[in-house]
Amino acid sequence: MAGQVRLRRLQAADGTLTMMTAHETSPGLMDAIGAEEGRALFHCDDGSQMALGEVLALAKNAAFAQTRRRVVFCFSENDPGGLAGYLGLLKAEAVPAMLSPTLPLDAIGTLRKAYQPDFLWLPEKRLAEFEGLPIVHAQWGYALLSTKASSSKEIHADLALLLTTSGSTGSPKFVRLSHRNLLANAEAIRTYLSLTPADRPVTTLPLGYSYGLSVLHSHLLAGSTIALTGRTFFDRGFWDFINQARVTSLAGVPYHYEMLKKLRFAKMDLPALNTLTQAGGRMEPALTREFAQLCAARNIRFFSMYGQTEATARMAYLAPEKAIEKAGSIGRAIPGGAFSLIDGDGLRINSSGCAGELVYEGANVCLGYAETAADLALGDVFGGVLRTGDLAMRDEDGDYTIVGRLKRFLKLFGYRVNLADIEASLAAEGHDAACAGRDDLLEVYLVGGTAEGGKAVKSRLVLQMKIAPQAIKVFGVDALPRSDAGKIRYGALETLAREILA
Amino acid sequence: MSNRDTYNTAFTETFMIETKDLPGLKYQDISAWDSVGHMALMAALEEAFGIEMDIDDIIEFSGYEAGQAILTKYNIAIEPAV
Repeated sequence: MAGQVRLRRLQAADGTLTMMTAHETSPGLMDAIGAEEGRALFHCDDGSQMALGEVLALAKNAAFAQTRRRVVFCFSENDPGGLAGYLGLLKAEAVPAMLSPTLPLDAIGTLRKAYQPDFLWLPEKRLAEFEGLPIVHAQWGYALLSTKASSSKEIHADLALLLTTSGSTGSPKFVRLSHRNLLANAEAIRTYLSLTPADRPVTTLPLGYSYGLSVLHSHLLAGSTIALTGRTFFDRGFWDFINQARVTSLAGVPYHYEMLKKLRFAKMDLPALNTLTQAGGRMEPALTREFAQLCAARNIRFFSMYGQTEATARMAYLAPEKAIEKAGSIGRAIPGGAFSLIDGDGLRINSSGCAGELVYEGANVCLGYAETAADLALGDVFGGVLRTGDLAMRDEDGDYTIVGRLKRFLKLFGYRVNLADIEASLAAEGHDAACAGRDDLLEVYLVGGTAEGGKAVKSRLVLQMKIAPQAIKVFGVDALPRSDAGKIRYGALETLAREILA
Repeated sequence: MSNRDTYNTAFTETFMIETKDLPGLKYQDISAWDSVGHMALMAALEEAFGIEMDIDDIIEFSGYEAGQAILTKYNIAIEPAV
């Protein structure tokens, strides 16, 4: 149990044994969700329902019980086995590491080397790739595989969950989250969205994505039933299911809103829908305003939100009544959190209208990062304070707007992409290139590139990053602008004479 | 360019694949044809043929062959493959 006090025998210097409290973990999300076995957790798209009792039974299963305080790579899709498996692992006090169910085998191999997980929770369709590993439990089209990892690793008592920030690229950098993080963020979201058992969200986001998990956690805490489907906006079945399941809210990153616009959301008949939320990167203020207006006219609440995986998910939201007037703003910190702005010297900026780095404090700030199994023994490194790397301004009402980024990364379809990493991978292939762009558009500036070379670079990045080709533009340039010290002057890239290669 | 060439080019340029990969291709068969790719494909076809597709047609555009049938509604006949 995550709330339990554990006792440890300590041998004092004089040889006497004393019993003392070694560690008291905070109540976990699954404890807060309770044990009402008959509660419907999921309304599935085949018409079936999954009750909390089924998840609790899975967690008690002998094989799942063995996952306690063990690292489990969790390849859950948005389907009954994916969700039940994830929640079963949380309940069994395993430490799931959430990975994309389409992560290529070689990337999984790299991560297994780095973290030596003891188990994998995997859809059966991928079983053939792991032939040597024994199945210790199978249910709902998933299997729990034992990796027979030999070494026993030290795992910090507070560690509950590992998330990636980079989508399906297979980067070994994980964010370490505690039970307290998960519960605090779910509580805050439940509060500001005023969630009740009557709310019914639908799974529009991958489970391994912090925003997707936050939708699940906050609604489970609120007593809601979640409409469960792996279908996308462009599947006929999705919209039939939305109405049949009487879905009340949709969560989307900016490209979901592009799609909704393309699908003429204004004309859709969705009688039960009462809430839209948007997070996962900067959305064009014009598109935000368009949706804010559409929603206002249809009595739908529209929430623009802001967050990072390092803050479990959510840090800020803009109240729906300000959605039109302040389109583009992220509003204020969530309940229990606080923002401040600091200047280049780390000093606090108190006046409004001045840009500075956005700093967040709250109980949902992660413990820290991990890059190898050894890091899982670490405790709280961040101390509840997160420097977001985003530049923001505060207006006179106290609402914040993101105006830029200190760190060189973009969000592509909600996932973070580190530009320096892409440059390094291009350099490793012998290219002289620099990367820039904005959210949902990665620009690659290739020195002396040909159309063919540009296309090859784009194809490889599409494969490597598993993103749509539309998110990448490759430009040919004569040379990269550099400072006297030889550093690339990224600000000058856009002004270069450039030719679109691919 | 024939309608088939225009149709094929929308696929090959959007998804960065070869013409030989097109027959039998369905939504979500390849990583490039995910929901983001679908939006881009619809935009490419609308631009190439100068049409605006209905929501039902966008949703029912589930594959390379299914799409050809849908385009006939917009009076675009894709010639038989050579």
